[in-house]
Amino acid sequence: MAEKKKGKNNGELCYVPCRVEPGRFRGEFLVYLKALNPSHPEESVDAQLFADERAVVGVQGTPERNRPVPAWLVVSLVRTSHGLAQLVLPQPAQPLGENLLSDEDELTHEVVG
Amino acid sequence: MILCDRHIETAIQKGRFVIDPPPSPSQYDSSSLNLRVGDDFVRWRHELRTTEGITHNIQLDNISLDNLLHLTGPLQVNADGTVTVPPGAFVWVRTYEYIHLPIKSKRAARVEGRSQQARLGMGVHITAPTIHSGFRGKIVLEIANHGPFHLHIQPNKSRLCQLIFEQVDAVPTRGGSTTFSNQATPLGTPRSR
Repeated sequence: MAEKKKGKNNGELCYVPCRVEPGRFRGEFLVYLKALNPSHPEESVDAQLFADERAVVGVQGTPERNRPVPAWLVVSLVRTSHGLAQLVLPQPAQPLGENLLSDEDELTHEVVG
Repeated sequence: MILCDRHIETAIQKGRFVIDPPPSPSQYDSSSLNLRVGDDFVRWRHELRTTEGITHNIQLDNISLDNLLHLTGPLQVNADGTVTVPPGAFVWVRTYEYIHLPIKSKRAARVEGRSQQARLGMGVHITAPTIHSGFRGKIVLEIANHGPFHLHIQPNKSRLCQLIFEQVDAVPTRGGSTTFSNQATPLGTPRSR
């Protein structure tokens, strides 16, 4: 269960919802994210990245290949404005690179359980 | 500005960035930190090259990571515990060490090979050495053997790459993706809420 609070400090760690399945290596996940199109924030973009298991928390269940489960990805919050949050991912994502635009309401600063 | 050995060590000790497990003194060079390879080697599946009459294509502007997963498999470890990279082979392995460069630390890094292995024909990354500020994870090495010898690697021990740390002059506010280069503002085009 996630607990939400507002925060706008540059670089602070927070979490975005994602789905994960096993990655290429042991201790690595393939992470699926919903992001916002930076040019058209009304549109969503599907993003994928590989991330170390330490960058993923709150995994619900046992991820299997082609059967991703809900989890939270650790990201760095760069700034927020107009309800949008600019985030830096732990590793670059396809097709967005290392930056991610998200709805600020999607973020959480603490993941419990 | 490239960090020297003692500034790398100080930054780690003060928690400005994370190298886990902490490096031993012998891993430091004058202006870099040598890292070990892990023990989880991955290669393209052999049948991709050997299935006669079948070709494979990848659309570079529309890469799906989940599809790529099906094209790779583990590289077997030898009976003596080493891993062999034959001439012309290409394998991936992550570093043994976990790295975290917080954005606030204003540090980025470049991963490079080491001269001893380079002289034998081993490359440890292809084209993209930058470890961006905010990176969190183990670095994936793309190891290619360009030489004529079978190269034997000791998992969790061989020091095949080095990290060169650099100071970023300010906290980054955007990434380098082409998607973001088209945005109207650093945060995209604000929505009316």
